[in-house]
Amino acid sequence: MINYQVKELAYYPGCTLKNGAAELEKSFLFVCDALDFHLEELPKWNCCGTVFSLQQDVLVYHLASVRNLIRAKEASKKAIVAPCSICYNTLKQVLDFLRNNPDSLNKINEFMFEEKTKFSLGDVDVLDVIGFFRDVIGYERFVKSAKHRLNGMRIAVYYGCLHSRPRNAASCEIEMPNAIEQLLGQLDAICTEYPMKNECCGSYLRVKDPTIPLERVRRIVKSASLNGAELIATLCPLCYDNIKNLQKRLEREGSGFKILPVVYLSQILAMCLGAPKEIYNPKSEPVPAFSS
Amino acid sequence: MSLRENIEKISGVNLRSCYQCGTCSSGCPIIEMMDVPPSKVVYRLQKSDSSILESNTIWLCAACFTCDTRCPRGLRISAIMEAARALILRRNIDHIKPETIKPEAYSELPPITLIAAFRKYTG
Repeated sequence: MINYQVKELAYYPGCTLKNGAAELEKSFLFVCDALDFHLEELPKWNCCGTVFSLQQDVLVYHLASVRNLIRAKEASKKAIVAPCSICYNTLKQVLDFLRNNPDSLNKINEFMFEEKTKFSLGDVDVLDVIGFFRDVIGYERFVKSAKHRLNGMRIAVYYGCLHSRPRNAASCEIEMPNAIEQLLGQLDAICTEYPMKNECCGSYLRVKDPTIPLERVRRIVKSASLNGAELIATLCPLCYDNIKNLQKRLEREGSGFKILPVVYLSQILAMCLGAPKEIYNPKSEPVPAFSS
Repeated sequence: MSLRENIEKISGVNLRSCYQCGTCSSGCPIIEMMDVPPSKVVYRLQKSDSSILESNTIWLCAACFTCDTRCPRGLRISAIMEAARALILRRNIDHIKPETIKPEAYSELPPITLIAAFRKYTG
């Protein structure tokens, strides 16, 4: 467990939660409030940079993330909680890059001379939902506060890439992660073990060639289905959109593809904690057990 | 500066420490779409073979980091692919052009895919 006071944590929504992924934001904040973790939104946050730049010789791509870390330091926060997997991974990798390259941090601070606050290592950490739920809130608190149980709901947790890889940003097991299953199991869900749970969904390759994520989604959903899942729970808003919308295309192919409902993990947890219907199932889609 | 040195400089990876075990290729989720497997990209970059920059592999790697976590030599293959892309993008040759994306795609695609794609495919 990591001991943070609630006021030491900043909620970093990122652009996607404020646009396409409102369900994720609403359900995540409901979960926090229900467990008495009333997070304050990071003041004046900006885009995280979307993808971590792997070019070692150019620092400019890291500035967006560093600015967010500076905002957190200015607000006297010790950690940023980023429910979006992509934001989390980008912020965390930038932080780790700076840790390993202190000279680069000096250069970045010099370059951003108009920022009144200089970022230094150890000021701010970055947490994802797994780390936040497991290490800060603690699974016990979820179980104690649960108003509804999952009554044997067969859930395939889909982690995507960015919570278990790369190693320096992993908040759960790198191969065959099990961190969320441990929580959902205590809430009486039956979690599906399947080999695709942290394989790439095809991500932004959808812009270049939609057939690649289409094929990835087919395999992920098929694998979850074959292993008995009736529902997929994702963490990442990009995985969510890929799986949810490309499944419709796969069904139209007419090759007998069976659609599985997709929800965010925090929607399931919000349901357990007594959220109203517009939070855990805003579009009133047929989702098993959610209807009862 | 040779191609190998250039890639090593941009990626921060020592290409010569790869001993061609093929673990990266065996675990790559989209290897079947690639014309050259990732381990062979590394091999050809070790030899400074510039024809590898014409391969589709470097554009298909979406940095899922599976190979990076499994490489027994600790190479960051995702960074090598990014360095290869950078060599092309830094010559101001974009891999995708906004104007070629169909208008209906803009309404269908979540904005985050577009931003990520433009970050990875344009200079």
